[in-house]
Amino acid sequence: MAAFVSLAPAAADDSDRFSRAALLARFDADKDGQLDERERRSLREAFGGIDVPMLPDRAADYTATRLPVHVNRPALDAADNTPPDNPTSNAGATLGRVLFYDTSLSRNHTIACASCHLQRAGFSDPRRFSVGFQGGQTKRNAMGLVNLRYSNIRSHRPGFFWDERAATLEDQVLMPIQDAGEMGMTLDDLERRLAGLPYYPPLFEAAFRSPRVTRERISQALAQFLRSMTSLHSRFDRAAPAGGDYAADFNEFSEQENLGKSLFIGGPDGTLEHGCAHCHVPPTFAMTRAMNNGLALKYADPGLGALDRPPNDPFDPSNDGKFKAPSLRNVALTAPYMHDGRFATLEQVIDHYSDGVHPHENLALAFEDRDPANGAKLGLRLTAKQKAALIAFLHTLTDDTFVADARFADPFVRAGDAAKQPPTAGEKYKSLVEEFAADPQPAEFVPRFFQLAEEYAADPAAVDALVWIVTNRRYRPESTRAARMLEERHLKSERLAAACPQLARVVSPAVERLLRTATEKSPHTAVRAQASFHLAALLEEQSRLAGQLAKDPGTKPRVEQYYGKELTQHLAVLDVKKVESQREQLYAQIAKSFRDAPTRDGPMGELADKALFAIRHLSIGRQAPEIDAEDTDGVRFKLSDYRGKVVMLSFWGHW
Amino acid sequence: MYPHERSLVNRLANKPFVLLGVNSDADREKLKETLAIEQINWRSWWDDGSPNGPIQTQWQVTLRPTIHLIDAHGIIRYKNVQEAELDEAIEALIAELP
Repeated sequence: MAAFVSLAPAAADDSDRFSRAALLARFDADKDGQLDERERRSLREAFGGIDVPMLPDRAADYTATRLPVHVNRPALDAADNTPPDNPTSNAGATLGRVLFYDTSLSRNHTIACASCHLQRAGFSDPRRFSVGFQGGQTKRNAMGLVNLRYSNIRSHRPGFFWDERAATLEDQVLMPIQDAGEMGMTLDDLERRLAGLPYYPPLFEAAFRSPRVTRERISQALAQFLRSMTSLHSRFDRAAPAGGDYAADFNEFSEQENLGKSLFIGGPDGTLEHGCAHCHVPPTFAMTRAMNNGLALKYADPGLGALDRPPNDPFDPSNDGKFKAPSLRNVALTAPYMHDGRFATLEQVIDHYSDGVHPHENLALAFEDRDPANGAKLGLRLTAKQKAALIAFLHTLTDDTFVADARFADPFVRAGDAAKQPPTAGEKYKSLVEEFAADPQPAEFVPRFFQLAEEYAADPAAVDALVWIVTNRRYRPESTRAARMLEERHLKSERLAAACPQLARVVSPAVERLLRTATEKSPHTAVRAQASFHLAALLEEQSRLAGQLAKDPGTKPRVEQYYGKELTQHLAVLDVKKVESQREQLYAQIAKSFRDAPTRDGPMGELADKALFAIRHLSIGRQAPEIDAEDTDGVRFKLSDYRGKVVMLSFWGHW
Repeated sequence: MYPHERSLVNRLANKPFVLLGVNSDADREKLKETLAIEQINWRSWWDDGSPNGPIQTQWQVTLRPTIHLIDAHGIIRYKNVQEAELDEAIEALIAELP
């Protein structure tokens, strides 16, 4: 790290009261160098029942920026939007950090900026839409926050938010606070409230040389903190050569990453205008302005188009459907994607740019020259290999030090419920399962599992939630609906591999279709393997049931009651021979391509060999395998010795 | 099971029919006693004295008794039929012969 430089006036304030050393001296009763839950509670009581921040003993360094060799400092400085009257200082950014994590900024003390901008998610929200202070949903996905300081690119001065409605970061930071759905505060109340909290006057004093809490200073401190959140330490930064030549292959990149990089920079046809970098400009990978990327022909949310501004491109009739995406740095962490979080995964994003671009009249230039026939969708027409390479490249933009950086982490000492991190989607799923076990009321829980799947569409927990519905509500309409959702939205999830054994125990047509589609379209070998193997098992069970039903049609009412009308009808018309040949094909494919894939009973290869042998040699209508061995008296004889006679072969024994 | 099998063998003694066993017992001497006591009148392969013997492994048999009916051409025609159904199936296969 760079040498420590503090712009804070030494000892001119008592923000030291909230330093780690000062708080430990007062509250670390057992002197173990940390505050346990009991000590945290006594600290909380000492401050009148509020959580207070615990700050580093010496202000952290928020001003030094270490640049990787590929970044040209004058060019980066030209992109810097720091206004002359609000340079970033360590004390100012420290105050901004406390504000960013303080739930006192929302009307009912429930929501902080950090509630919807999670550090572990690149300061984005893993939920499709965020939830405001009264539980209402926001209209857009909370974007990742990174390198907001370097927003002025190629002489553009774009605004902030998806629709660029805030001209400066100083303007931007006060808007969510006052938004009626998000934090619901007025600035008058905010000033009054913050001035009454013990830690703010000293922090304002340190940052602004007077303890007065004003809206201007709140905005300035938050903007300073956001500007300090720079990330230039990803694998991309370590690999890119001095001088910033991004076109040539990087030595440290894999072949796939280099292919992805060349597609990102130069486009699939080597035309710079078709490269992603044309709009997501390195080294920050931010956009110069809001653009239309053809998500729809008619936008439910017009984005920049809802603002009363002239078209930001003279060739466009309007600004309808234009959004400014955040920097693509850490993009692998910031799912879901787009202004409305419509894409749960990067795969879906790349699929959109490959084949799903609508020919909107404001469409960005990159797609325009690909003339559509009658409204057909446009796109870069990427191969599966190119798509995978682009995703591999995007992963090189992840900066693990940034999302673990203590300077940007929650400074508050939280006690009791507040100490709990907001639960992850996985934790929410687990607690739902536990709650249900304690009080199994499907009518109440099924909607909650669906809601979890909607809210965290990008998280593997969404798959878990839907699988729960498929398997726990088997043969009911909601099971079918959940299976359809898995097929339509989560086909590319790797999580499906682990879910296949459970799923296939539900032998409904919807699960059959889901598994069949997964065998054909999943990008993950593990998923294709598991889906193939368990689809074969599902088909076998369907055949067995169909056989029973055919043999004893009187059982139909009972079958229908348990398996539902849809499956019963399916079984009544099942072509058992056709199903057997499908199973044979599946096992042949497994025996060829997925030999080492694991199952509960060992590697798939041997099991598939066995199943193939059973289908080809042990099923009705097939030539029986020869038996050539000794009888109980030691005399050798063969099954084929009895050709010409009807043979009843009985396997028996006493044990 | 044995009485039914015995009577099948006796009843169909003059027909183109044979009952063959695959035996999975561990003790060959004891088995010979059983064959005598139970008057087991059909021939069985000795499957290496194990329920995991090579014949059962190849035929993927894990439950006993398991029955396969094989027609005069060596084609597997019925599996796991029992009692009256078994008798009917055997009759049907015999009836196919000229």
